[in-house]
Amino acid sequence: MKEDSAIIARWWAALLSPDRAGRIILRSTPIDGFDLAIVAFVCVMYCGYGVSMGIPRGIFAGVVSGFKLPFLYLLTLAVCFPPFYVLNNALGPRVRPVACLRLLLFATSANAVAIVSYAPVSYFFTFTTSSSAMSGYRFLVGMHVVVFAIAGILSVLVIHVLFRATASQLERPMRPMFLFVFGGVYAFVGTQMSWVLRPWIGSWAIDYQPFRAIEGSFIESIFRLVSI
Amino acid sequence: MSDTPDKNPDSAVPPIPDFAKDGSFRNNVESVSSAEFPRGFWRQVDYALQHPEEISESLRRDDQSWKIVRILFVISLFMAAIYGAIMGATNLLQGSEMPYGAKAGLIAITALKVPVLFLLTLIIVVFPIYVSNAFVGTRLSFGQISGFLMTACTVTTVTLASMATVSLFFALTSTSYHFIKLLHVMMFAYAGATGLTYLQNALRTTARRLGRPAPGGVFVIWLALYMFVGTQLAWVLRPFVGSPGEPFQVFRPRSGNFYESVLQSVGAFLKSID
Repeated sequence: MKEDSAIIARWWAALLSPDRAGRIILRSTPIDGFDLAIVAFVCVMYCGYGVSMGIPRGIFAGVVSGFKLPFLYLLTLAVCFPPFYVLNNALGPRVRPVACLRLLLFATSANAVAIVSYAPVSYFFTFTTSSSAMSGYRFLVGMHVVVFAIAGILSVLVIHVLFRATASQLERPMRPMFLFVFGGVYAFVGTQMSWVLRPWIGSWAIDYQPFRAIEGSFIESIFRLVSI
Repeated sequence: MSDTPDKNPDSAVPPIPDFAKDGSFRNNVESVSSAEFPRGFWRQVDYALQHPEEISESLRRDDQSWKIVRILFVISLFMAAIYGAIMGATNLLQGSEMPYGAKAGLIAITALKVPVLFLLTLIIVVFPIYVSNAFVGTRLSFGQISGFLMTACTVTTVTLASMATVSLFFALTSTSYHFIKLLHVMMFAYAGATGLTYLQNALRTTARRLGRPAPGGVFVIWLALYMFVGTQLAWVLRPFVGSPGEPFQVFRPRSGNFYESVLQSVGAFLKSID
């Protein structure tokens, strides 16, 4: 327990100081207990927020959403890792694959902590919104979208800050273009991943189902939404 | 985030050094040594990714150009085949009507076609580029030009292979043929842009180090040549993904062109979501 709190303290200190985070990212050991502990925190934090998304549809729906939310981010991280490593070589400081993985993990943990900090707000609105009217559903969807958009932009900025820190420690360059290219790929994959794993809240007009059949893509749904 | 007082006074992020801001350290090749490729395939891939300056320097000295071409040829071949296999697998993952044998055949054939596409394009464009490079005064040898083009091709194919996970993910989770086709076109455009940007920087640096004029306007012509040959060859070699309505075929009869087909897909995609 004491060890856990030491790890949390170290992680939080690193989040507050990019330079320290840079040193942790660049350490030469392979994936160790500290990294795995971060993965565990990230899962717990996402779970905490995810439950608030599904809870209006019942306990089961809350647990399912809470279980799905860590997967949204960890799977997106897995899909985006190879492009990230190659981009890091083309436009970034050329760090090793393990450092890339740590950097993405750190950025994801920043995203998780941003999201979980909204959890009290989310629970408050979830429990105080009437679950009989569709306007309540629409309000909750809008709220979650805003929270995720803010946290997503934040995590890409954190990647940028961390990369700058590692680049300056290694005295290597990092081109701003990197942020645009990787931000684009990350958003493209992340939105599709959230589309695949839906429903998160579950429309109140239809019966609850933990997963839906794959149809179309996020981009197509956005086009549809705009064209109506 | 950073306004918390920190016990460590030296923990502020140091400013990025001036030479690093615009990426010009890549041109700072005074201290760069010749490339020394390690043994083993994956180590060589990693070396090619992490040491482009050393490769440029070797090509400038022209001491082992053909060895570099040989190593990078194998890497390009493999990386292009990875992406090709994913392209061919789209049909399998999206559940078309084809029998399973034909689907497996499509994966194998596309995994062969994509390397052929890249390397044949290179062979077609290397002669005009070599000749015009001699005329504009850069005067690189045939080995050097082949080496630079091969390096650009490696950067392109490695970038493309790195996007294979993204393409695979979209093939698994979407159902529209036109969407996936446009996605692949986008991935090729992105990879091609990365490779050609690399080529331009490398040629410019090398020409300066040799004290010769860098290819300026003529580079745009090379670019156009490479793109036209590449897209036309891609069109001749199709199908890569395989339209779900069509039976299995290794090649299709020649008709239309690449640009027409992309525009058609954009139209069909926009129509399908209306």
